[in-house]
Amino acid sequence: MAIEEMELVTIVGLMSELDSVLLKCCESGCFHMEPAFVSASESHGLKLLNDKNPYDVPLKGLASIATSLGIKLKETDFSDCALESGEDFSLFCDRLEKPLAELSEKKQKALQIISERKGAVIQLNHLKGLNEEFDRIFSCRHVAVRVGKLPLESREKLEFYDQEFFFVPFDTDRSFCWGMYFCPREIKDIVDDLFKSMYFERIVIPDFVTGNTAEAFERLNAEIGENVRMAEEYDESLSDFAKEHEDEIQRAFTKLKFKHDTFDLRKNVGALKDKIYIKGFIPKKNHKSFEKLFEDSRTVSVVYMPPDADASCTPPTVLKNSWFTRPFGMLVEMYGLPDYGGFNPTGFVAITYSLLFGIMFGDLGQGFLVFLLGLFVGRKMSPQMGGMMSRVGISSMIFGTLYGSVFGFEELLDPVYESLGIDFLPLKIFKQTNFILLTAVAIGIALIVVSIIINIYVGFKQKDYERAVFGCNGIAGLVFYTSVVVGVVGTMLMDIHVMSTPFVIFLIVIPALCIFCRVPFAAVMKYREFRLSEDGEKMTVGNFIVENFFEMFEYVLSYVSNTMSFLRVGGFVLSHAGMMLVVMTLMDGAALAAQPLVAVVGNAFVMVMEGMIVAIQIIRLEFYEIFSRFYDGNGKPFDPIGVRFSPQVD
Amino acid sequence: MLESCSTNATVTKIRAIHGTMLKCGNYHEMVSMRSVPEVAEYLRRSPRFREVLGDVDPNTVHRGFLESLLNKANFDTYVRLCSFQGLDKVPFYNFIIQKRECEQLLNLVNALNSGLDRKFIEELPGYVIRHSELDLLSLSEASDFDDILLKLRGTPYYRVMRSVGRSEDGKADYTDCELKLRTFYYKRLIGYIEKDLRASDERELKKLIFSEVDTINIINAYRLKAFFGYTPEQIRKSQLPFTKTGKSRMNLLYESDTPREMISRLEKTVYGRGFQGEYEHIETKVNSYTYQLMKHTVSVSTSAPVAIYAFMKLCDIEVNNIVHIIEGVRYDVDPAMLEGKLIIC
Repeated sequence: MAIEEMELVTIVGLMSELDSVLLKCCESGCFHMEPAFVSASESHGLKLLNDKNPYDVPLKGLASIATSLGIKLKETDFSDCALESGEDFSLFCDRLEKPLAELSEKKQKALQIISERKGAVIQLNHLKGLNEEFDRIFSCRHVAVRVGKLPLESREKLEFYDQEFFFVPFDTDRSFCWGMYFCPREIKDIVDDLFKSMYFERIVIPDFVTGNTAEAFERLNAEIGENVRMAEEYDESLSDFAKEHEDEIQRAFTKLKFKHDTFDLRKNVGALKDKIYIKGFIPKKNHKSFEKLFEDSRTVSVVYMPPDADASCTPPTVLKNSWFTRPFGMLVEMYGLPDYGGFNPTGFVAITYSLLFGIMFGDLGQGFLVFLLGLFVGRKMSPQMGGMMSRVGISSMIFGTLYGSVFGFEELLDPVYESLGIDFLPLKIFKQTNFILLTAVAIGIALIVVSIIINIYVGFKQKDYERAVFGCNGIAGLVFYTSVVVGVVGTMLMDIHVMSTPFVIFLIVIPALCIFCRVPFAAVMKYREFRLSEDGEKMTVGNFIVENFFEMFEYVLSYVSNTMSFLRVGGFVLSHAGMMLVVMTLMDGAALAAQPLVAVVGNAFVMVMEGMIVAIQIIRLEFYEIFSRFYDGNGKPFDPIGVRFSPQVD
Repeated sequence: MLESCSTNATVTKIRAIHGTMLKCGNYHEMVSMRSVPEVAEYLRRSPRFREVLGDVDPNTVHRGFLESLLNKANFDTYVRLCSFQGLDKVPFYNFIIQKRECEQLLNLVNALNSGLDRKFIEELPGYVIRHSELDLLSLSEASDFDDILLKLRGTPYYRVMRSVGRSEDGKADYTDCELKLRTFYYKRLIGYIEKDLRASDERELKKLIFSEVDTINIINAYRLKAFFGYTPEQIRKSQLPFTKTGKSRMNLLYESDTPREMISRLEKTVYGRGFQGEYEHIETKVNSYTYQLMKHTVSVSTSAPVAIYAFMKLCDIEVNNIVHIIEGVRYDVDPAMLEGKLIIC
């Protein structure tokens, strides 16, 4: 339950060996690469290899060709693919592109004709009933004709105009009247303006529409049919083309993607003349296997150093977890990894999460099902999620045994306990409500105390005395919190007079003062000088008092609210039992034949709903009530370089 | 109590439609568009105008037609709201139709005065023709002001129009006509409110109407002072005879020596909040108050007549904003400047 030890590795070699070095780093599977230098002052003449990726354009081109041919890209063995350079791949793309473009163009042309003809059909639909030929109408020498649509509202105004025109309506929809107007050519412009002012929208009948409407329909439909047939033929040709070239496209794409991604790794490599400089981290345990990769190469030198040897890069964090705690690493990663050299809380989370889940969702039968489900999920879907489920399932079974609850049947285990002579078990939840709630708060107090102790440990480890000694989660906070708890519990629950004057002064007032003055006290310890603010900014005594008064108020409030927050643990114990009671009541009320069904559906419902709520509530307790006391989560994730196939192209 | 409950459904319906109105974010998006078809397409996809613009081709639609469709959408909404619980039987609820009638009569006088007599019928909205008690199509055939009076005989507008001042060539004085028609509209509206509605509704509505009139008077007064150099007495004569803020305060504005002084005096009233010495968009700033008042009223009022009045005013403001945007986009106006002319948020 610690953090994996790392080593800083620097690799120096010849430029000609760049690709092979990078490939070996990828092969190792444990090399976390860092930029060769971060700021110009550290570059020492080095330059980062930020060259334009020559495989970028062909990669996009090949992906586009595959998409237009409907080829689903997948990882393929490319050992017999002869293409090497970016130019080779570009030529390969051009070779495919030419026939593909020709076929696509022909298909597009057919589709365009279909679209135009269909558009004309829609327009002609509004002119049904026109028995005259379009050519004859439009070729009138003295009469101008316009086809189009007029808003319905404008139509009723037409009779109030005294110009010489007439409008022939053909079709009317919700908003427009479709038709044509005729007027003498001499006043065409005036009438056009008039209709324009009434928002008449002209429709240009395309040249390919000839004859009367019926004839035009027939011709258009025939043309649509012909072009649909042609488009289908082109589709078939494209499909044949795809079948013919699919294998070589798959091989070329996989190789191209590999080369492209490998080239991308260069951006963190430093170069000086013909030398390359690569920097990164490996886990210490992989030292030997990594060393072995480069032992044959004489011109490449690999130097191993302690992880803190280079101040410009922070070592990444790899959690080192045991078999039991490993699945809970997911929760820690969700919050944020610890700093390298920090505290790995996964073990603590594993124990508390399992414990709280068991308490809140205690049922032998349901816990067993969660366990089985965890095994299934772990095998088929997510090992981490499955692992968590199986562990909390076991915890649920243990607490279910203590509660005597099996699928909501609360009396099923009574005879077992009677035969064993244990009279204080099982715990009858509704008869021991106060005990359960007080125990929940006690668990909360214990967890908060442990969190504070962890914080003190981390504080001392990092030599942060404000955090370890004087902070609200340091020694002062621990003394203050435990003293108040002891005082309250002793006075209110046990009737013991604990709150004597020395107790109050030494264990409550002085620690509170320490928390209040944590910044100056820590400054005295750290810098041997008295300061009111840590960063050396000027702060008046008045400001200091006001600021710390409110902070102190917030700390006290957080002690109370965090402690009370654990009441939900008891609340969910009651809620779970209550929901199962409802299921049992429904079952009793149902017909005998329906009772098993009610029990199964009721249990399934409670398991899904209650299980999810409890899981979420515990995450909340972990993150807010526990992690907030000692955990920062500012660590850098370990991301070993590698080239993984993906059909996606950015 | 029952009377109040009986119109609660209308109030709820108004709030539901109010929820679909364009928001600040929508206006921000529209002002940054590059062409009118883009704006038309955007409006066509909005829940607010989806129905009325459904059959329209955004690429070919004329700006004027688009504007008339938006106005029609608002009018249709108004008709639906009034008929929803049979409110249209109460004369007050005809206020939008009466407003449109007055606007059309003014358009007619303007068209005749400027010799563009066909312009009236071109711009005459079809929905007004159908709902108006006036025969607007027949009015469109009027060739002079006497003709208008002849066709208006027997309607409530006859007496008003007859009293309008005339010039020597027989043309009607447009400014006088506008003042008289507006005064008549508001007087008739207040008459209906006092006669048909409850005292609480009357109080709320009068507050809205008088505020609206105040903004009209303020904008008018500013224009007359800044651009025509009218004296306080001339301004007073051209104002609508209602006020919420009080005659003395309005007189104080009219009596300002310069337009700048008028703005600084206005800043001390509710209508001039947020002016901060800005003189460019006085209409926008003053109308923003009306917008806020109407928006607040729609949100909190439980009275159907009050909510419907405020809501229709908001609809008008919304269409005006869209028209500004369409024109701005059409003539490539800077988005920031365009946004400054919108009455939003």
